[in-house]
Amino acid sequence: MSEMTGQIVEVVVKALAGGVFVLAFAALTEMLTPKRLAGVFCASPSVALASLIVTAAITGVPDVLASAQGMQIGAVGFTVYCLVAVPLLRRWGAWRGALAAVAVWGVVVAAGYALAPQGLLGVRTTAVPGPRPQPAALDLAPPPARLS
Amino acid sequence: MRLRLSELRRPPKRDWVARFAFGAGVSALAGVVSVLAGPRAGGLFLAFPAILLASVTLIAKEEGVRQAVQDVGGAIFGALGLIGFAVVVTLTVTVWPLWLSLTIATLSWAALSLALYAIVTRLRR
Repeated sequence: MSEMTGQIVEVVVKALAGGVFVLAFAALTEMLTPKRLAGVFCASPSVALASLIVTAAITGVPDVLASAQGMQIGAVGFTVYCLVAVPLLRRWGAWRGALAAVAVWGVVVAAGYALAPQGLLGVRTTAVPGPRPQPAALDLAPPPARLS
Repeated sequence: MRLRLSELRRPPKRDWVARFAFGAGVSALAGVVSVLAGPRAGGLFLAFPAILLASVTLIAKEEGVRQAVQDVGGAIFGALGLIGFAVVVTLTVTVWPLWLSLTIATLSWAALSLALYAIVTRLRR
């Protein structure tokens, strides 16, 4: 399989997994009472869970770590999105207000990525340590006997 | 807080299809950015408010802007929980098995979001 085919497969698998996880969280939200909690579940980690699991399976844990660092900045942008969307929706209505808030998300995320590319904690991406090297063979032979 | 299975029959089928499509679309977007610009840039889109955007416009159409504003107000707590989710994954994913890291991160999201929601709701009364 060529590299490009592999990348297309990765994106398709992430898309399918993301759709399934969003459905699962949506079902949970529908079943949940009281209904006023529905807003909280609109910001559930459904897409993140799906994407991180597929990333771990295809490209490995170091990429999961890097994705989580990026997600920290995205989540700060999401919080700012919610804070500015409340007055914008009241003033401009649903579509214009929500789209203007998405623009704010973009600005916050771009600034955050430029200022703190390692995420909020500044943790550097490091390779996962592999298994400790084992000695080639155990020397079970008895020590040579001393003659004197 | 309770779960009612019967509530699953309430939304029409096209709502479920729309939700699947939005989830798949955002995940594909994050995947494409990850391939083109690296996993850290792709990670930004793991907290892209597309699902909320879809939900808000649908709710505003069916139940009015006031209800949509209420949902966005609730989503603030979920978004703060997402910061917690990402921080927990960052701190644990190279130390713990993946399933444990993601499970604890999801539980942290739920605990943080619902606790903040409960505290703010109580303070407002």
